[in-house]
Amino acid sequence: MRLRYYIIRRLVLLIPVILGVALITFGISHVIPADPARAWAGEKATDEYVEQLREAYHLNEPLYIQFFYYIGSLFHGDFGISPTTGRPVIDDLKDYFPATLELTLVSMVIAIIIGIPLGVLSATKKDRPVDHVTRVFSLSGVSMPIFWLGLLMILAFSFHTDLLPSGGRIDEWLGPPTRITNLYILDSLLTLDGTRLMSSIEHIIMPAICLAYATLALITRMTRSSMLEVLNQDYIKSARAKGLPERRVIYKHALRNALIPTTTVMGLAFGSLLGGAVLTETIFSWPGIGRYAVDAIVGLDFPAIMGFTLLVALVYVLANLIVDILYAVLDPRIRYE
Amino acid sequence: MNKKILAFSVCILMMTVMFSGCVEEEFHADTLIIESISEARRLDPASDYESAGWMVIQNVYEGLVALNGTDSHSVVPLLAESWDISEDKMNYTFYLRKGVKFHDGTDFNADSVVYSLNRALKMGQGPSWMLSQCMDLNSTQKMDDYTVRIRLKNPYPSFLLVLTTPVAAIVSPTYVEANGGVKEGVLDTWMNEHMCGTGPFKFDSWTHNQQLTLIRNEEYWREPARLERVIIKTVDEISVRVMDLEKGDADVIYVPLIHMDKVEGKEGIKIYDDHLSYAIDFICMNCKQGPMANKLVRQAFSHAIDYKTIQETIFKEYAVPYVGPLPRGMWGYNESVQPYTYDPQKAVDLLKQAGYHDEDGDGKIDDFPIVTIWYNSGNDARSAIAVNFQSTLREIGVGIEIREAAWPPLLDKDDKAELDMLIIGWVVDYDDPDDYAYPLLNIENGGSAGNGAWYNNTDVNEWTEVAKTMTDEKERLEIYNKIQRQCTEDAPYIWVAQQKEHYVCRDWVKGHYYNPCLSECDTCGGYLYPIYKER
Repeated sequence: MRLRYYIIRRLVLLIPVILGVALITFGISHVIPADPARAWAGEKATDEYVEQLREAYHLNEPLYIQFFYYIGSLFHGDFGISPTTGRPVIDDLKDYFPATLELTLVSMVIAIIIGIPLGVLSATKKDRPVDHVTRVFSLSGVSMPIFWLGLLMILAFSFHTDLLPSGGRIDEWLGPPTRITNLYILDSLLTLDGTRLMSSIEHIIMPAICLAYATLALITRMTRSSMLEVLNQDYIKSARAKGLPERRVIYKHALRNALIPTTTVMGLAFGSLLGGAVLTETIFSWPGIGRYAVDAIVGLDFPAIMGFTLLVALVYVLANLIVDILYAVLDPRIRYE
Repeated sequence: MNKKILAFSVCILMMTVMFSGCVEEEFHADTLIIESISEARRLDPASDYESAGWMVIQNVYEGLVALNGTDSHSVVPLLAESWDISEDKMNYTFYLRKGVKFHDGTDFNADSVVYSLNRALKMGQGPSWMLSQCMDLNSTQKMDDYTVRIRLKNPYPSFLLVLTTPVAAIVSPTYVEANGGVKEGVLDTWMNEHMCGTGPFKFDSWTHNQQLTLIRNEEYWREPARLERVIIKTVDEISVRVMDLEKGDADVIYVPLIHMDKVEGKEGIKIYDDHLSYAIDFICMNCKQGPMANKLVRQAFSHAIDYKTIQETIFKEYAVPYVGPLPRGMWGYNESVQPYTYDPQKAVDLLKQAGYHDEDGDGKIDDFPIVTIWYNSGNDARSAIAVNFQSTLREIGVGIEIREAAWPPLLDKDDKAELDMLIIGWVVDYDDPDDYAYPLLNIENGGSAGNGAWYNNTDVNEWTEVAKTMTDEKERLEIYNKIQRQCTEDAPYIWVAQQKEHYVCRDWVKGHYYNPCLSECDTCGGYLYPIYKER
C-alpha cells in the first residue's frame, strides 16, 4: 500500500520535473544568438518565405511569449511541427523512439544476462585466470570506441561471412511488420509474423551487442566489486559455516545484496543508452532517436529539440523510479514512506 | 576435452572470418537499391527544396516539359505534347497529352495543370519563388480540357526550364483534395509523406531514416520502366555503403568526393565521371568590412590558394577550375576569362600594393589583422580546404583562424556580415545564369540569401537585374560576359572548384545518363526511368 502511494507521489512529482526540463531546454536552445529561419528555409528561399517561417514559429516575439506558446501547445499534447522535416514532432518521436527503445532494451538484456554472471564469476574466482580474462574483457569494453567495434563487426559478420545484415531494422524486401507498438520484434510476435520476427532479430544482434558492450563491462566490474564486498560480510561466513551449498550462498545470499549498486548503474545506463545511442545508430543505419536528435540540434530545430529532451527526461525519471522500486524488492529493509 | 573443443571452435570461427573473401554477391535484376547519406525531407513538389527529395519527386511526378537527355538547356515534350510561344515571349500555350492517368486512376487534364501550378504559388513554400518570379495566381488559364495558356507577369527567358523543376510538377487534384486540400502559406503534411503523380514510378512506402520504396507504374503512358522496384536506403556511414556495394547489397551509392579513393579501381564497381556538374565550391570574402573590403587584398587571397592541390587531394581530381559565378558548361559561361592561379609572389605584391608588407623580415606581414575562415560543422572537405588555405597563406606571412559552426548560427552571422571568409557551395535549380549570378552577386541578396561576400557593385547589381528578364539571347549573353569579367576583377569570391559528376554503381547498372540539372552531386539516383540491370 505504502509503495503504491510512493509511486503515485513520484509520478505527480514528474510534472514539476518536466516543466523544469522544458524551461531549461527552452532557455538553452534559444540562448544561441542565431535566427534559425534562414537555415530552415534554405539558402535560396525568398525573404518573404523566411519571414513567413519566423512568424509561424513566433521567432519575432520575445522569448517568454515563445515559451508561453510552447507550453500552451504542450498541454494540448502538441509538440509542434518540425521546420526541417515538415512533420509533426510527435509523429517523428513515434517513428524514431521505439527503434531506440527496442535497441536499448535488447542491449540491456544482453548486458545484464552476460554482465552479472561474469561479475559473479570474476568475484568468486578472484585473482585466478578467469578473473584476469574478465578484467581484460571489461576494460576493452569500456575503452573500445563503439565506432571501431561496430565497423569491425560489420566487416567480420556481414561483409566477409554474410552471417548478419550490415544495417537497418528489417530486411528491405520485407518492410516493417504491422504497426502496433513500432517495436519490430514485439509487433512481429503479436502478429505471429515469423519471417519478420527472424529478420528483426537478425538485424538487431550486431547493434545491440555493440551498444551493450560498454554497459556490460560496467555491470561486470560493478557486480564483481560489490560481490567481493558482500562475500566478506559476516552473514556469508555464517551461511558457509552452517554448511549451505556454495551455489546457494553465492546466488541467494550474496548476489541479492550485491545487486543494489549494480541496479543503480543499470538504471542510469538505460537512460544514457536511450539518449546516447547515436554512434551505434549511425554505423548500423538504425533509424533511432539519437540520429534524429543530432540533426535537430545541428539545425536548431527547436520543436524537435524540445520534444526529444522532454521524452528523454521522462524516460530517465521513469527508469530511476523503477530502480527505486527494485531496491525495495531486493532489500526488504528498504521501505518507502 | 570441452576446453579443447571450445578452443578449436574459436579458431575455426576466426579463420573463417579472416580468410573467407567477400561472399557471393546477390543479384536482383528488377530491383535497384540505392544507398545514400540522407533521406528526403519532404515528398511534396510544392514544398521540398533539397536534392534527396527532388530525386524522388522527379521519378514519381512529371511536368509539362522535360530536360532533353543530357542537355540541360533545352526541353522536350512530356505531359504537354507541344506548345506555342507568343512573339513577346509572354504567352505560352501548352497542348496537353491525352490518355495520361495519375497513380490514383484519375485523368490528367488542363484542370490538373491549373490546380498544381496555383497550388505551389498559394502554398508559397521554399521553391515557389521559381514560379512566382514570373507568374501569379491569374497566370494559368484553362483554354479547353487539354489546352492551357500561361501568361507571364514579366518575360522570363528560362520559363520552360523552370517548368522542368519539381515545383512545377503536376499533382492529382482529386488526391490532394481528398487529403486536406490546399491551405495558403501552409505546408501540406499529408503530401509531404505521400505522392500521387503521373510518373514512371509510384510511391510505395517510406520508413523514415530507413528506406523509401518506389514501384513501377504499370499503367504508365509510355512503355513501363524496366525496373520493378527501387529501394532508397539511408546509410550514414560511408564504409558501410562501400561494403554493401562491393557485396552487391547495393547497386548505387553516394560517395562524397573526399572518399572517392575508397571505390576507385575496385572490381565490379563503375564510376561515371565524364560530365561536369553545376555544383560549385567557393570562399566568400567579406567585401563590406575588414581587410577584405580592399579589392587588392581579395585579389591577393585569390592568388594565395593552391587550387590544383585542393582539386587533386580534397576533390580527388573530380573537380575542375572555373571562373564564377557561373559554372563551366552553363549557358552564358565565358571561356575567355581566365581563372586566378596559385601565385604566392603575385599575392605578396598585391598585398604590398594594398599597404601590407613584411618590413621587419620576420616572415609575417606587418599589421595584417588575423582573419577567420568559417565552414559548416561536419563538412570534412571544407575543413580540409580551410586547412590547406591556412598553410598557403602562412607561407606569404598571413595568419588565419579556422572556425566551424552549425548552419543556423553561421547563416545568421553571414546575414550580419560578421564573417571574414566563409566556405560554401551553390547548386543548380535550372540551367540559367540568372540562377547563379543574381543570388551570388546582387546586393539585394546580401548575406545568407546568396551574396555571402556582401559584394556591392552598382553596375553588377544593375546588370544582374536587367539580365533576368531580357529575351534577346545575344544581348543577354553579352551582359553575362560583362558580369563575369567584372566579378573576376573585383574578386569577391575565391572560386575553389567545380565538381564533376561522380555516379558510383555496380557495373550491372545500365542506362544511366547524366544531366547536371537532374541529379546533383550529393544524390545518386538521377532519373530512373531508363535504368535497368544486366549482368
